[in-house]
Amino acid sequence: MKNTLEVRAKKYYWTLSVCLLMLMVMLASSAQAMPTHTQLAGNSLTDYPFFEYVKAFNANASVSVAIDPSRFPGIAGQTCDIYVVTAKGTTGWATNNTLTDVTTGGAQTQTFSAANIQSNTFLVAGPSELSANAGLGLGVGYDVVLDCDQDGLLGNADFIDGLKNEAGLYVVHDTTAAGPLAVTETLYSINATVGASFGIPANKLAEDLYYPTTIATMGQLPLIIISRGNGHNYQWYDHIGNHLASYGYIVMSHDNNTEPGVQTAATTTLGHTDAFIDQVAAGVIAGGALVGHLDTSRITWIGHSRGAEGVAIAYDRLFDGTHTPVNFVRANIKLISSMLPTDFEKTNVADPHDANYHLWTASGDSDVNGSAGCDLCQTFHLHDRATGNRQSTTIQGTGHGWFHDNNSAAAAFFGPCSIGPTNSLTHQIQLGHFLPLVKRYIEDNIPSIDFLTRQYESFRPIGVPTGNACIVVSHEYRDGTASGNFIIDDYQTQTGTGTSSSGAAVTFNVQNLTEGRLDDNNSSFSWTTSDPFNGATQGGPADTTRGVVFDWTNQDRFYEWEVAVGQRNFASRLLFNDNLYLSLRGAQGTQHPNTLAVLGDLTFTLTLRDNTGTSSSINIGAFGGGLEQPYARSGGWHNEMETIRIRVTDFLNNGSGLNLGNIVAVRLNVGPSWGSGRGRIVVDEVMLTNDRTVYDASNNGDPHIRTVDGVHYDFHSAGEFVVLRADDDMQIQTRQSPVSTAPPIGNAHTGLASCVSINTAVAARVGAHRVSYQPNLNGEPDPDGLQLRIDGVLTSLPANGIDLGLSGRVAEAPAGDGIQIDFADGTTMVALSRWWSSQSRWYLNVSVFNTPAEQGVMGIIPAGNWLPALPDGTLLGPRPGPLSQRYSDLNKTFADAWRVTSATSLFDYAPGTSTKTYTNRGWPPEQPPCEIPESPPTEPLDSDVAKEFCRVILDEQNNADCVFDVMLTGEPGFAKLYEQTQRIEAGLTKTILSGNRNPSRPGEKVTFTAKVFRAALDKTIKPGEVDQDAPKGAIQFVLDGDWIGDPIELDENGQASWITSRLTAGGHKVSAIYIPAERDEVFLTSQSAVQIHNVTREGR
Amino acid sequence: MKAFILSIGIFILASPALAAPDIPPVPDTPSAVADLVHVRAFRLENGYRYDWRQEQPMVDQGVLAVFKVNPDLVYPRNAAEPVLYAGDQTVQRLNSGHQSGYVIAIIPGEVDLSRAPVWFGQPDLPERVNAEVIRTQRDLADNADIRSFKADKIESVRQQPVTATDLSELLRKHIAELVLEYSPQERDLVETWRLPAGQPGRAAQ
Repeated sequence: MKNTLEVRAKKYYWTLSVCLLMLMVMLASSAQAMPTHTQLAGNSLTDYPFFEYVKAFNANASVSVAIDPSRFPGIAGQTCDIYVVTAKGTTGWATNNTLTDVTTGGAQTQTFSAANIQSNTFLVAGPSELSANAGLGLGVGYDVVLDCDQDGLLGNADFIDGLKNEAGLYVVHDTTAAGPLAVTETLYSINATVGASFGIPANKLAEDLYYPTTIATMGQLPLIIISRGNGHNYQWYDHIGNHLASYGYIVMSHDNNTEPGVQTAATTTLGHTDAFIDQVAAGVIAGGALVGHLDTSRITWIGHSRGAEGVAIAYDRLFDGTHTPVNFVRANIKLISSMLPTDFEKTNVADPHDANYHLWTASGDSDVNGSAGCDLCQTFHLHDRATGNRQSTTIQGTGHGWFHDNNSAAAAFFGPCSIGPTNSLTHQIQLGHFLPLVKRYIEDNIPSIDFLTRQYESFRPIGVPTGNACIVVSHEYRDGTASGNFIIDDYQTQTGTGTSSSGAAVTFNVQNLTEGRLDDNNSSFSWTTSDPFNGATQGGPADTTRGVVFDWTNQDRFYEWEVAVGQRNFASRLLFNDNLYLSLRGAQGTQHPNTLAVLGDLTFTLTLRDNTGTSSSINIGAFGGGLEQPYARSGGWHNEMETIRIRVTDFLNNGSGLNLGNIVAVRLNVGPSWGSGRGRIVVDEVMLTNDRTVYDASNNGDPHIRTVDGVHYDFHSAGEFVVLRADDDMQIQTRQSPVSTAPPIGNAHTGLASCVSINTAVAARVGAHRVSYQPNLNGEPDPDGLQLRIDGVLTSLPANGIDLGLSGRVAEAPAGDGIQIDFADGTTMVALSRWWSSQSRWYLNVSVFNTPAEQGVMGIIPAGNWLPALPDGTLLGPRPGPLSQRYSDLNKTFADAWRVTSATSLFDYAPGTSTKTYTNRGWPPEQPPCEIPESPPTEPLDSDVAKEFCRVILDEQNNADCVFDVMLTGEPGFAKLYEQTQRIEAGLTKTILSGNRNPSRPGEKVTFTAKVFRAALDKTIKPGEVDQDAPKGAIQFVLDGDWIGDPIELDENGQASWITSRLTAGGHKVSAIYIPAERDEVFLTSQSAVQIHNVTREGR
Repeated sequence: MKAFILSIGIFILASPALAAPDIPPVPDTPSAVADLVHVRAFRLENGYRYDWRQEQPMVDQGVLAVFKVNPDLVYPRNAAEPVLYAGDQTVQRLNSGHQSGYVIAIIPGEVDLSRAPVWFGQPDLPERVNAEVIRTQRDLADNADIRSFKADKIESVRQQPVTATDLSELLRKHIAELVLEYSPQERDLVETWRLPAGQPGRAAQ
């Protein structure tokens, strides 16, 4: 056998190598054939960088387009047609590249100059010219195209903003205005026995519910829970309830046990969340109107005051595992928003941990007053403890009582420049930001980010008045995901003033500099030199949040962070588009003489410098604001942190010459030449950041990994591995088995030419359940199929799949031979299998959609690294030079770190076997031959033959992988499997069924509604939003196994309803089947989970 | 906007406080309640967990009491409020009382108000108060010469004992009436306790 393989090796190695070169050339050529993707839409600026590219535009604002000829020299001298088209997304552009302008005047023709970005800036839409009618959504997406060959088609010579899943721009409506849905409000009390079972005291059972009146026609809607503050009434949040319900959310405000304290409040929040889900399912709330319409996988907690601390404590209990809910899990809590929280419980208890966390602060609050002498009244503590995505909104001139809706209650306001009474202005700011905030974390909404990150002076909800100088709002925003973020200095480690937390040098000549805890060290906000962090209330005595503070006085000075070696390639961080930002947070130093001397916004300049000494500088005031003046309240001002984000590519404008591939320093320039002449500021969280949070990924063939952040690399180790995991409730493992082949082809990312293995089994953790899909346990080859086990029990899949609780489900894959698993966190995994007769084994492709998971073999590759991090967070750094080191890093260190153990394995085993049975630490060998006794030799194929097999695979990378696999293994079935995977990636759908009441009475009218969604990332489920590319076709409703009437056509939102009054007494099984439109070659059928509907004499 | 803020800022410096706080400062403690106007013993067939002190004992009997108080002592605030004590117990306040000046309360367990002074101790959260804290607060009250009510005073306001199936019924039937009588501004509290309750759903079946 060895001789045979060696002969084949000689015969094919050269051929394969040539083919690889050809493939690379082909890929390179095709890359050049794509239109140029870049940011185009934005706003003109008076000062450098002269243009800001943004995601969102208010409906009453104009839209401009700009391109910098120094970044894109090819544009100079060209005459192009500028199109603003309805956003198409990746798939839409792939199938239809026709340009149809939607502006009033149609596409405009402009000749671009070589001068600068200002001369290449054009107004493309005036105020209110582009529709912002997003229905329940936030904004309408548009793509911008510079059609430079003027052929009316998107082509090679063109530029586009929005080619990918993110539209080029979004026009957003007034977020302070109510949504399109009528709202029903109802007051009731949870049954005392039910309440007691969930820990709710007998005097705190009341709930105030808001939901869309037409909920019967809608699908499942996310849940928002409001937990009132002390001395407040749970009925005082109508403004929030009505507002969010009018956009398609179910909002419930509950009575809260705040009087004994914040721990009891936390217990009540947990109890009401559980009880509400329980009682909705039981049909005893709102007459059963919510049955089947509650999406328990997406829950938001909003708390006020003690209730605002309570929601953080509640999450802390979930995080610590000291409380186990019945009807939801921690992963279902998608957002916590604390309005003016207390901090009684302090560090490690009042702790949002990794939750998406938002904080509201009222600078005029006289209750939770933020004063130096009241540690538990300092709202920012909770924010600074949060380790995930976190943001805060600080409003000056408002009080504690204006966040609820009772104008007769105490305003709890103290300070100048009031924006009340009444509470109207506060509410407009509140509602105008709550909508995008919720959409950001419930729906991964893109334009919402602008509301949370841009200077308020530059972008704010339309409905908030612009002429009132007392309205001063500051935002903090920190993306907590690992992807694309690099913390240059957060002052948490390397605490010397000469070193950043990222380990590089810090130099400065600013004055009176101190690093330390962001905590005023006495009980007064009056300035003294012995209290350098005067006014800082981000941390309490036991907290660790740190920053730096310094000043300057009428002289130019600087503070500079060296960028650590290995982190200097900013260009490589531009993973997805230009959404890479230099970000920091800062605040003016309270009552310092320099702060008092120059009142108003404070500005400075941020400078990037490259390895050649070339630098580029941007004054933060260019974007319309600066660090706000602290709220000048008698008796104390606290520091109000504000995040400044500047798009990194802005530093390139007008031929700055900066080399983003080697940035050696970030400098903060202050003084008369750079902004405010004098000042004292606190600075923290200097970082590079982007905005991506959910991902698609794949693990195909022998195995070609596409990580969640889009990097392709080959991983051929043999054994069982954790390929993706998010938390205790979501994990995917694969078994990789070695295959004998000819010497392999090198992989571009690793630079290694490794012997290969293939995926032969997959297993998953789905909430409390373990699912495996693997060959029969006795090891005998069995072409009949892979076996599915749930919690170790051999299981046959019924047509409608199997419900795994809390939104988890396993079903047959809608195309090919395999399974689909839906996880509670929104992840969908499809594993397709195919029998390889000559090897007598099954192999699999694994596709993952819409996952927040970031860890594992398919996990994020942090910037500056060549592989995903290890389970303990260890980074492997950039790709080593020596091939032997790469081999060792990948196949020893990395592979062994992600191997499952007997304790962690999710697979099932025959007696006497374990994960060790499938482990081969010697595979792949460092050098060929690629022989393994259990794998018969394979017969490679000629590249042309392989290409012919794979020609139907459209995605370039998948096509290359397909050709690779078919060539190397000689197995044409790989091409078939890639084709089936392609079908899945393009057309996988989800169907969700809900009924308007359960149980019902005999003869009572019941409405069942099915909604169909596309699973892939560019069509993330957005409840209620009008989806222009929603699946078309019809729904076949099924009652007790029988098809009911003809299929009902889907409406524009991809949903259809069946109304019946003929249900007989007893239990019924109801489900829905999506039937794609005739001749639809994209969308795949999907089936809902089976709903049990009970018809009883008593009804509900 | 910068110039605008500048002018505003100068104005602010000239007049540092343009609005007065509408939350009264916390009065000094310890401070005795002003009067006892209602006492009624109660028993519950099904007790409840008393979360107004750290130990969270089960309570199936106690005293319903109505106290006249200094409204500033019970002004609702989210920062710490003075804790109401009776003898060696914390007192569960069932209403706010800052508008009416009357607090309707439960004193858990068997308590003899002629031997148990009733007073407001230092601001804190009742859920954090344990027996040790109560002893400390009691010492402060004793040092401040806060005395218990005289027996004849108690007898003059004592009502017939009541029995209820649980706290929920006690609230709806008896405590609600006390709220309406002594603190009618808090009618919404009564309405909340008397809201129609859903039938037992899944959890109770």
